[in-house]
Amino acid sequence: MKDRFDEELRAIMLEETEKIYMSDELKESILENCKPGLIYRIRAFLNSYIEIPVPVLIGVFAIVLMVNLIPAMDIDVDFNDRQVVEIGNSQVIVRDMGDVDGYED
Amino acid sequence: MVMKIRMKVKTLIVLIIVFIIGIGFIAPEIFLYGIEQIEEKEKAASLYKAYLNMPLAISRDRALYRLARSLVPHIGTYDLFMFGRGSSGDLISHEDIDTAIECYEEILDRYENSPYYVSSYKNLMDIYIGMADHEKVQELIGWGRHSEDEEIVYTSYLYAAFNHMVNREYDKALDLVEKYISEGVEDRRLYALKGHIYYLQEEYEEAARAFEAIGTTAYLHDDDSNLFGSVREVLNGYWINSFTRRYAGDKRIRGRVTVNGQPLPYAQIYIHSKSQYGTYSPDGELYIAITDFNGEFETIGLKDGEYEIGVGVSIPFAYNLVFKEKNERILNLTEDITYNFEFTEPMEIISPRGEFSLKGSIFTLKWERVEGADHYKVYAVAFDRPFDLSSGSITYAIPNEAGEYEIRETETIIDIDTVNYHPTAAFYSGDSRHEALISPNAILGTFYPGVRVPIIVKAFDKEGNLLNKSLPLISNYEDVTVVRVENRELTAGERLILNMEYEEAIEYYEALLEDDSTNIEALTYLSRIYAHGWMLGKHDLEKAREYAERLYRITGDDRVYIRLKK
Repeated sequence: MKDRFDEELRAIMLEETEKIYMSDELKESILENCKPGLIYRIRAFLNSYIEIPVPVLIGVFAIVLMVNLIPAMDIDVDFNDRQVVEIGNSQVIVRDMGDVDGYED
Repeated sequence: MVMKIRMKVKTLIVLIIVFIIGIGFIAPEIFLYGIEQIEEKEKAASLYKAYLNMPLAISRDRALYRLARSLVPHIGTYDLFMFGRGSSGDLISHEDIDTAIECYEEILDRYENSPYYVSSYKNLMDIYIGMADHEKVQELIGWGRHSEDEEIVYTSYLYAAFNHMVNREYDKALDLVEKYISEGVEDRRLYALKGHIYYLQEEYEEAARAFEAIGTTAYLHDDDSNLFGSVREVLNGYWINSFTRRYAGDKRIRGRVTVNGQPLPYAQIYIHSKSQYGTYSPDGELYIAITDFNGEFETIGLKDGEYEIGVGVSIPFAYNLVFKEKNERILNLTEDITYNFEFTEPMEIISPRGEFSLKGSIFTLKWERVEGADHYKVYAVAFDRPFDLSSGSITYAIPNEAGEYEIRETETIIDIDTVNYHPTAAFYSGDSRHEALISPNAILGTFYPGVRVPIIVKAFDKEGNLLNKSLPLISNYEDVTVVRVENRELTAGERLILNMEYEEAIEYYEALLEDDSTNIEALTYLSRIYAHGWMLGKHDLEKAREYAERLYRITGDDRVYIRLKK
């Protein structure tokens, strides 16, 4: 046989509290005191799970890397071996012998 | 479907922090350590600049110092003697110097507690001494005296003592040196300076004692062997004893070193005995004086004799200097004499400038007028390996279109065919004297297809003294006028000559003449090969004349005889 005690108890409570009202101030006060604290919220946030798409992760990684390394690459990197030749009692530094314009007199 | 990674937020934050520390701080430090292991100066300098551009570089003072040191490790001298010349150090450019100065100044401005602070101060003064900027050196000495850092104050007085020595205020210099020695300061530069001061006062025993103390004393600040700018260090007492035995006497040389008429301080004066050294050696000369703030010098006393005198100027200076060579090669010292060294900025070739491709056979050369010049000469440079400009080179005057070597005007026309009719300077190469082959330019002429020929213009006075020239002591290739001959292709015979396969070339041309007895190219080159000889002692003037006459009968051009006449 099913126990009906909970339903009976509920009916008694409803009957007895039907005329009782809570003031708005009391409601606000109770809600105010029930808010979770900052530490609780931070902990909750830290323990929450997120899902990161792999392409986004790779993109962010690349951006951070570039932010630090791009300025480093802004240099006149000249790894050409320079050669010093003796010309007429002078020393001439030859770095590159590139193309030249034609000359016809 | 896009792949996702699921993780807790706190795990992600930890990963981000590790990533930032790794990329931002640890990686740059590892990078910096890596650069310090690189020996190649230019590569290291570029990478130090890369490090300094990183936003999170935390060892900036260290990188600035290392960058400056890699660019200017030591300011060597370019030494000019009456015969030989050469440099004793890296070819440091003005740009390197400017960058190094900026680095040291930033350390002095922003990193007072850096371990590189004192060394930066010292190195900055060394650079300004090398650049002959005595006013800047004095300014830095004054700045150092008011420093709260005792080591900076000491360095300031050390360089003040050096400046007193340069200005021949030996007592003041010695007072400062002795003060610190008596206070127990252990720094070998003190003893080196003391030795130099006594040496220049000709008190050789005292000098030798001071130099001997160097060996048992460490440098105070670093292990750098530089001694006050580019001043070469006399290291031991043995050297002094050898010097006094062989050279010390009572004849002095006085003079002045000037650049465009302005005094050049801190220039070192050397001599070496002509009988002992015939060629330049940076270790072979004897340091006998240094110029004061007025550019004047007075050497220590020397024995009567024949000497070569020389001057050493710092290498960065030499980039824009021409040494006004005198038409004398030996100094006969029998009494006190005056001998001046004059430098000037190089004269300019107005056109053509830099390397240019010659498609025809003539070009016009224009240059700036030099005051007092009686005449100008145009010089060509021939290389042992002409296509990559490596190995040795020879320089010789070439004629203009009219065959003149002494040119009065400031422009002339060079006809490469005319030049090629004239003999050139040549060099021989081979395993032994008997197998030494003549250089190809002697046969082909100065200008042949594919060759690069640097051109130099010199101005002379009536006595033949050099007044100026277009090529400074040190130059960048792009600033030199260079003719690249591209008017035609080399012939098969010319290729044999260029490869120094002379006997094959003779066979080739003789075969050509059997088919065509009027072949001009064959007659030309056979005449030249026999006129000069492709090997030492292998010339045959009769054959040369015979080919020249056959050539003349065909062309009617008497220039074919020029090489035979000379």
